[in-house]
Amino acid sequence: MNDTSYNLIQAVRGPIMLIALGSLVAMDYFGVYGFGRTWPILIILFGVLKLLEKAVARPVVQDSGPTGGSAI
Amino acid sequence: MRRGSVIGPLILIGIGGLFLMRNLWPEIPLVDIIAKYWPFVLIAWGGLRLIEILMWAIMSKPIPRNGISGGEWMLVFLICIVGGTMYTARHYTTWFPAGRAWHGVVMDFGDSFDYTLAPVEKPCAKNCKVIIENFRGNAKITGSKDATTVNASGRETVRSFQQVDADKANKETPLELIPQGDQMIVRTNQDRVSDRTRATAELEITVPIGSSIEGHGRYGDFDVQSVNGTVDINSDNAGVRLEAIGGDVRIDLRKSDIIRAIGVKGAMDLKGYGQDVELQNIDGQVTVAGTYTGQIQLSNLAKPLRWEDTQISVSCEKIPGQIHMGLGEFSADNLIGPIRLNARSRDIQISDFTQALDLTLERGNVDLRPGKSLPKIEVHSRSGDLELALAEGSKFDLKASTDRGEVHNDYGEPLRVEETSRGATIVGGSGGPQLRLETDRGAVTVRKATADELPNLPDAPKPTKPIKQ
Repeated sequence: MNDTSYNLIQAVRGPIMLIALGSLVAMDYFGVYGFGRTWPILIILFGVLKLLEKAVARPVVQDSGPTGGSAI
Repeated sequence: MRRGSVIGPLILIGIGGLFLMRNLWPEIPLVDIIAKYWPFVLIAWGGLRLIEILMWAIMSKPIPRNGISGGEWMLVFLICIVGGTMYTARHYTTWFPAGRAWHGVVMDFGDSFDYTLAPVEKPCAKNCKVIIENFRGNAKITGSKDATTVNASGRETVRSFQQVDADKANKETPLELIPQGDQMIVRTNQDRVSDRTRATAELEITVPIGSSIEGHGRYGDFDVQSVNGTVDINSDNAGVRLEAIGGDVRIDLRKSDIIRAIGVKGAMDLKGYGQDVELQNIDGQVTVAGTYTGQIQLSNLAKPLRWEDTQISVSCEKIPGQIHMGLGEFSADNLIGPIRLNARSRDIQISDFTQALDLTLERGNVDLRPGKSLPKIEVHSRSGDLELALAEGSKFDLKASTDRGEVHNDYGEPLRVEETSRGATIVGGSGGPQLRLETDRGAVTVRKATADELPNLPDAPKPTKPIKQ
């Protein structure tokens, strides 16, 4: 199960980053907030997704001993 | 593209659709649309891929390691570069010719043939509405007190490779006046000619002074004078010059080199993109929602101004003086507030203003000279120097601060400087309107206004004795 969610989060990272990039540029063009101000959101988002990936991945390593882990 | 993904085929369908649109409806400004809306392609792409991945996960199919592969990121990068360049070129510079101008370059390989259009004249009501349909070329419309007819004449230019084609095009595009109830339609029939020839016209139209004008243009200028009705101009690319208009004015342009209006009794409503704007002696409210990148000059506006731009938004109640906006600058003199000004990056200079000023600025220097009767002032700037000139002996309650920068109290008593860790604050006053100025980074200066900076208000000190030699 952890393996699947890990893969899933890793796979959705690209599309989410793409949506965020498109949204920030669109917001700039429609005069909401300039891309020059909002670009750090992309880095934050990337960091959050990486963190999420790690959070899901870690239990797999820890639980591989006595009980789970047979899926690897 | 990933095997089993629908994105690849969709991109192909999209590209095909765009080319088809260009062929079937050439009048749609496709380049403008792509330049503005390309980020939505990225959003749609990401959204579709996200749905795909979730579907695969639900159906327990193998999920790819990366949602977007390296090659696809390269394509995204390419789209960003091309889209960003198109957007910048379309909205912020003048060197990049518009879509129609490209068409013009192609057409310029032919020769131009000139013809005189047979003049037409039809009687109409004193307050009839004159509609110029789908027009390419320049039109000069003049209202006349004595006229009881609409009279149109002019010249036509046809660009073509051969004289025969040009003659044929000229025959197919007669100038017509078509009465329809209270309306009079001026039709040039320029749509009838094929793509290989292009007809443009120079029209002189005389109308009764009470008429209203409605112009739909594709390329060319409108020059309207002495008309008491409303004026409504809608064009892909036009310069508009208006003088002595009695009614409301609405101008909606996709591109323009100049919009000039002098002496309008009604309200003015401007939309779209363009460069220079010059408005003078306007009696009605002025509302502007668009992007104008050239020199902007507004003077003597009797009713409120509402200016909404992607770069700056301004509102004030009346402009007996003038406002000038250019690249990176805003200067104004003699305004009646309350004034609200919100800008991204500008150097702001405002002198002689009343009621209240609320100014929010991201970047730029601010220079305020309010004059003798002090209004309430509130200024917030993220980065830039603030300078405030106050008349000697005026009453106010001042607090001007910088988070990081120096302060200069050139006014003296009753103001005092309070140092903070990286910045400082000038506070003090003798009771009166609140003046609040703050900048995150920059110098703050408060000084005494010199005599020539003070406007000649009735209560302003005047020299008591003339200087004798």
